[in-house]
Amino acid sequence: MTAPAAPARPAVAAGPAASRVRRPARPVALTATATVIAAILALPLIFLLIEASGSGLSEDSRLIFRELTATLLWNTIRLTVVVTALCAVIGTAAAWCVERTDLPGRRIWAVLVVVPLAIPDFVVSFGWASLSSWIAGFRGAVIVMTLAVYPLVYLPVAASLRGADPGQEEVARSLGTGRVRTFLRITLGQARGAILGGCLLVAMVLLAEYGAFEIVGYQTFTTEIFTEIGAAFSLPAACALALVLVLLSLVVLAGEGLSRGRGRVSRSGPLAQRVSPPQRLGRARLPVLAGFVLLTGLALGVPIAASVYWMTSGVRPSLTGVPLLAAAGYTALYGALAGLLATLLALPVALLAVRHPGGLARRLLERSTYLVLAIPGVVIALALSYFTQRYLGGFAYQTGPLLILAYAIMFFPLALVGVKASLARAPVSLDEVARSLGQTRLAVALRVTLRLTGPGLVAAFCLVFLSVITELTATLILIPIGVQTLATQFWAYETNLSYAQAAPFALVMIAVATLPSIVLGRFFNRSADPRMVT
Amino acid sequence: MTELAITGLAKAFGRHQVLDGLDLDVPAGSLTAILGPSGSGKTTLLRILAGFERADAGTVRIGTAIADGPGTYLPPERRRIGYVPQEGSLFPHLTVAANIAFGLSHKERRRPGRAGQHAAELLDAVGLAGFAKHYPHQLSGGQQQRVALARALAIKPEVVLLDEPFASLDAHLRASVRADVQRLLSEAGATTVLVTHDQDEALSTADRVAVLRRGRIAQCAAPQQLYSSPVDADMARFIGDANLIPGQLNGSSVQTLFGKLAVTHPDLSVATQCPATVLVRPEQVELLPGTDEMDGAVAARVTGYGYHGHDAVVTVQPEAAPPGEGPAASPLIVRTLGGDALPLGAPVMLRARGPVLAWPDQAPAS
Repeated sequence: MTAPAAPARPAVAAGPAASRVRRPARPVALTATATVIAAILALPLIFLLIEASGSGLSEDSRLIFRELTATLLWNTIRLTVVVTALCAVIGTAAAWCVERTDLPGRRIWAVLVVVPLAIPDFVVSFGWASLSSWIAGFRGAVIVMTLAVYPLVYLPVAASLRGADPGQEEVARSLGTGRVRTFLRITLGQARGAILGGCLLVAMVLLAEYGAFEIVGYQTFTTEIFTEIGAAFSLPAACALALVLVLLSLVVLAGEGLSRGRGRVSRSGPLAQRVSPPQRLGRARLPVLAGFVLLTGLALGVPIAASVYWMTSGVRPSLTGVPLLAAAGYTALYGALAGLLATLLALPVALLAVRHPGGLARRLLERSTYLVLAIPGVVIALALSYFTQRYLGGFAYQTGPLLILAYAIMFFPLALVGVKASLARAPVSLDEVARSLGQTRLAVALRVTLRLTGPGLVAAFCLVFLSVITELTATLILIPIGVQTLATQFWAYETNLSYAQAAPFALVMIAVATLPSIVLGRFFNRSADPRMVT
Repeated sequence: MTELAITGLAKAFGRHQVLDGLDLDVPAGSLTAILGPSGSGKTTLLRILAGFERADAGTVRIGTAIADGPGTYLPPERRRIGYVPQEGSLFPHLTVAANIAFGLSHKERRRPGRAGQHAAELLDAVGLAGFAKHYPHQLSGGQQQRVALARALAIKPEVVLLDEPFASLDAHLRASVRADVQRLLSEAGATTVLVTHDQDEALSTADRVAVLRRGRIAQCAAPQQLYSSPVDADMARFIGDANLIPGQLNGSSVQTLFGKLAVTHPDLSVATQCPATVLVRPEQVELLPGTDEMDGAVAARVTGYGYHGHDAVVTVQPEAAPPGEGPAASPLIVRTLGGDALPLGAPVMLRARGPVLAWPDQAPAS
């Protein structure tokens, strides 16, 4: 290679030496913004570290190594293991039946089986516990939580079975493997990543859950943290427990990552979508159908029926209309603002990940934001109240903006998934073509980028909005004095045993959360359509 | 009619110098192909011309306007360059008609009659009349490619850039789409730059072919000239099949294993004999079955036979060592007109027809 004829300007910052690097210049402003966002998301972790180091090792260990912690650890772990295992079995079996067999009414079941996800866990718990005192303690917690969260396994497994290569099963059968062994060795193997991912979500929910356990009277780390700050006003004790809780979550997160890394599901051959013919259930048809009726009846029917029962047959509530409207208004306001904030925060991080891939530092930056998944809402609320009281002199504590920020941090990973998916639909090449056709940057943003990413951004917003409606734990800590949301008002009535007054709030939450979830589910199914991505 | 003038263009990604002082003139109204292997910087050059990427050094002139140069930069939307990317990149949320009308001004789009008529004419021209209401995902790859071209032509560009436009098409589609594109571009009178790694495509589509090598244009010429007069042995190998054999250059002729052959461009400055590399194209070698001795004929054995219907490509191994000293002759490629199949190992006689191209071997530079 000869020396350049013209004196070359100094080359741009050294990037990867690939010849087709689309954007060689480092996106400085974007990286800086994303770093700030990652720092905000890291606040809860920073808080825990400050608190742990501040109170000293001996104090920490005194608070951590006591009998209570052992009990809580045993309670939390045994519940997590049992419920996760049950959810894995129920979710996977239901997904296989809906996606791969000739079960009658598959399309209806596909919707009904998912709906329980939209019902707040504490409403399911209320529905069951209000019917019988038998639903209590460990037994109650297992029943309630399994019915409330099994769709978290069902959804990813169903998606993976839908996309899996039927050819592998056919080859296994032709090699002389029986139906059952093919299911165990091939089908489950293909869905393994999805099952693990679903189990991770289930475990995270269980570690963070408060309301449902409080109702059935089961003690876990999260409920105890609440007791410490609510009744005992002991921040150090709450923090010590939170530290153990976060460590537990990190162990689950790391374990899932490790077991996933060991096996990759690959699809051989071209991506031609071929659907395997449904397996015949034969004589198992009626029992399976009965199983589905039972499952949806228990998960969906009981909470709704209990709420309706209390509303109609209890003491006629004297005054629910006005607080119901006010609470619904605040819930919608907080949900909308939090959805907006989370989507806005997710945008720079997603832009960096989708449009400027590569660079270990940038990948770590994006990955680090997923750590929020491991931090229960109660810890995030605790961290924010700590920072406002410590550094802002209580300013902003228990105000709307702080609550909205807490929501945005909690549900950031949800927004990020949605925003990333939507950005993938608008490749840079389309922007370039549009500009070569004489359009300015602004016109391109309006006529191309926004049009293509719009639906995905709305979906991200909705995901956060829906999650906020049913959030109870952080809300109870951070809600402004004198304000009630649907969840907190329900909670106030429920703890007073005013079931008749609590029930309408439960029903409104179910209605508000269920319908949009169905719409959202349809959106994400559609986005799996490969043609829409081009 | 607008010409393109590129001088001293340089572009590096990190430490990788992709373009290194590239000069190229594209005459107004011509169809020029930039030919180079993958990773040679073709796409980078195209992206600098379109304005998606800025050059580190050098200038790009479009007509009279400096589009990219020291202190000057014209953004893509002000260059009036029709750009057809490799994948077509149609806007997935717009119909075919709306895709084509995308670059028209707001006013033009608002007058439904005219915009619609314009789009319809273009659709007709690319052979997709009746597809106006379709969405991109309902079209095949070739159809998408044609819509992308119509969209680029709709803004009546003075320059059109095509990035590997036929690479994603099936072989049987390629010829028809290529013919359509050629016709449309010549009707539009646009100056066209096409980028490709496929030499057949470059030679058969373009008026002029510029070969990109090590960040510069190694040769730019009409296809026939490029094939018949490559600038060096590397270029000869790159464009078409080539037999490169050693010889002794002597004024207007060269002594090879085929005897004395006339030289195309006699270099009279080479007074005395000097060793040279001689280019004998496969179709310049005549293959005679049998072993009859003839003047200037070389005995050889068949080592490979590929039948292509209209012709056949035969690989042969000459048996005689070249006159004088030197290593054993390397295998040769011969193109014959079909004929009977030749069994492997069959003895044949070879004869070469001049004139041939010869480059004096450079003495190793100190």
